[in-house]
Amino acid sequence: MLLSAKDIVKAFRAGERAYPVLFGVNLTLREGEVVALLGRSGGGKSTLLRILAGLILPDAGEVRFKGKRVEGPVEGMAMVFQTFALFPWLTVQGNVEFGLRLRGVGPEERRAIARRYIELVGLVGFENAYPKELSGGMMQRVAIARVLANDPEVLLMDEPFGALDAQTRALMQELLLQVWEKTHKTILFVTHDIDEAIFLGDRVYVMTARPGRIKEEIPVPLPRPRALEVTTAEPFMAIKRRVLSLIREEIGSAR
Amino acid sequence: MALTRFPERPNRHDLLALVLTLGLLALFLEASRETVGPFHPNPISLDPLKLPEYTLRTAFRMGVAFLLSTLFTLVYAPLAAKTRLEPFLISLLDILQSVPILGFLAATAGAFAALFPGRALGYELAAIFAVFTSQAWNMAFSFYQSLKTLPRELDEAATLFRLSPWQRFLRLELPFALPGLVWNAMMSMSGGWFFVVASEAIAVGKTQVELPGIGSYLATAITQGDGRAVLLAALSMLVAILAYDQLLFRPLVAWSQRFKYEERPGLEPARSWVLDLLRRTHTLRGIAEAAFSWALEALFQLERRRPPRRLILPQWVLVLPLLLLGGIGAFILWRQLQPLGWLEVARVFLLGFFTFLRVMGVLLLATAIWVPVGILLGLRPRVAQRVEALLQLLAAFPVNLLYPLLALFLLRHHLSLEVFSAFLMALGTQWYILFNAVAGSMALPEDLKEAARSFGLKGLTLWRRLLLPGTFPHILTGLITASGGTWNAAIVAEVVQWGSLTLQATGLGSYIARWTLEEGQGPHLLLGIAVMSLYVVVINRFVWRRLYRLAEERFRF
Repeated sequence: MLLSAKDIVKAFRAGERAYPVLFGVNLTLREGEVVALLGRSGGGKSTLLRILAGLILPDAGEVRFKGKRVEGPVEGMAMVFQTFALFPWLTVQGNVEFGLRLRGVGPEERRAIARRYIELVGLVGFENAYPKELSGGMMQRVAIARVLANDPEVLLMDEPFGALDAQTRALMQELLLQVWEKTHKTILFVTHDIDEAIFLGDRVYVMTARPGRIKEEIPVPLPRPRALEVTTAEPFMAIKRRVLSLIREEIGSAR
Repeated sequence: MALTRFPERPNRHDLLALVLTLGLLALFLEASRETVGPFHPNPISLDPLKLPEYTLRTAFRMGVAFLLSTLFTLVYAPLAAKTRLEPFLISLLDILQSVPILGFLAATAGAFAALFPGRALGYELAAIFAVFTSQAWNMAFSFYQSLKTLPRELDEAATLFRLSPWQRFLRLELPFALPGLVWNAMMSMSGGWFFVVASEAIAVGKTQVELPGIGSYLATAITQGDGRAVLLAALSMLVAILAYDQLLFRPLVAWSQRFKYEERPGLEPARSWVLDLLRRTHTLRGIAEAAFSWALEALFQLERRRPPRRLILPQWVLVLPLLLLGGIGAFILWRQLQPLGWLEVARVFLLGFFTFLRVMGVLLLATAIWVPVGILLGLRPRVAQRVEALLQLLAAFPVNLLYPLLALFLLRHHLSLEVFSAFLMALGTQWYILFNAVAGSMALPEDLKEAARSFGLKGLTLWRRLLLPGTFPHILTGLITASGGTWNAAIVAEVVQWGSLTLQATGLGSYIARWTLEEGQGPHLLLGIAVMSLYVVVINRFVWRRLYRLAEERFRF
């Protein structure tokens, strides 16, 4: 077990009132897995991701990473944001080298490592471009290369393709799968897109909203490597039907 | 944006800050009592050949003050943003911003001169200090604001990279804040010319101080009634302002563009020929980059060797001396003011009311004129961008240079300074209203304008429904800045001179100016400054900030 969350409870306070965001959330992440966290907007998925990353602390429950309790940002976990969060004043190269620089890696080695990951995400030729000059999809590639260069054990992704148009998103999903084939990093990503969750994930956690809870864990036994064509085949459809019925139940009960 | 973080209702921090500020003021005044020996510098020569030297000297004072302001900003703002002293430090900044610096000039000159008896250094320092006080608070506040509005995802990304405090500051916060800081520095600098001119030729009690510079050159030209010299001085001033703009601020603004986190589409990026030139020089660029990255690495190496402990100071270490200082100051304040009596206090408040009427009246008038102009300009961004450069030059030009000429004009036409001093006061500050109206109009969302068009909004309705409410927050920001400046200008605008003729208007500004001239320090001056600060603070809290909150809630996009 690489990463686990147990009985996570979190509420946000606004004045006197407390709004429960997460209530009794349990999940686990094994090494080399790709897991999707599927739920509606405002359902506490991003909060859960931040608790896992140690960016915020839960009110109750605990997160363990490699057996150790997470009480703040730890080495080995990295995050990719929906809004990319690139440093606008650094070039592509500079952004990818950022983490290495902080750790005091020498310039030669730094350049070599950055080059490897820039190649992996297909951005060769854009090393000296600034984020502003890139499209959304390219910026997210830079962000992915930036965290990979730091060689994390877990990649947490918060709606990573949410800000992209449908076609770019499909391309980026394939790119992420290619990256995974080459690195076998453990990935947990948050999404509200059912197709994306099934297409990318080995497992899908379906979350309910207000307060957020894991409603069900659905395995996705589709063979890898996967290509976009999987999404039109019957096994994929069967899983999708199941997820849809779960969501329908959830919306029904919310009324 | 600029004011949301300020508390609206005064709290104990405000009180502490107020006491402390007034206390420090009193201490300064006390110190300046010891003003020593007569000071005999070379008299200012009206020879045009001396003018380049004077110009350089004035520019140098500005430069030193600017460096000091930057240093102050880099220390103060992080302290305010990251320590528990935050509410106090912000209140202090707020109060300091409201103190009319010009009234304080003679006192600081006296105090600094006492430190270096018989030498010009003290007066030089006083001039630099005057410019510093006109820039530093504003710059510090802008930087603080940037530190507080770091986008959440950038903050989180940095946290996950586990940046040390130094790395966080140098690699994240400083770069993020740079565009705002540079812009604000440029604006503050343009305000500073006013003060450098005013502080070069001042009277401290019986001592007439003239520091070699454009300001004193001009003052001399005016006492001698030399029109050609006045013109030359104004021209040199323009040259100095232009040089700073082209050689320092344009390049900085253009360079800082790349640190901008969000970009507004449709605007031409700022350009600078100096920066382009520097970028084209490979060697210089290479050296600069290498030096910069070496310095950064060295700093981080140092930190790696000695991992910083979390700095936790017990609060009393800082608060106790502050309280003590404030206490002493308050005591001196009381002792100095005591002989004046309540009648004098009431009279000063009344004088303040007259000045208040002038400030508000002229601001209303300026708003009525410049807001429509600004909005119309903003609707044509290309024109606006071009006009903006010119406006900045206009705003930077120290209008107090022109006051004597205007005095002559008023005298000739038998116009009363009681009314027209208001115009003098707003001469330099009106531009802030125009600037912000342009910016607000340019910031109107394009789709909103299109929606208005598709609804067939036209003429008056368009102004009432979209243009005015849409630019309201910006206009308020402009009004607030202009208001502060106008109060300050009252001190030099309610008394004007041409040759041996003096015109005076009834008001708090002329009261302060008179006692500066007569005493240079002492209870009357202190009372005047305190009352004016009080007016500014109270108006800020009870008028501007309320309006501002309304604007933020209702009219922000």
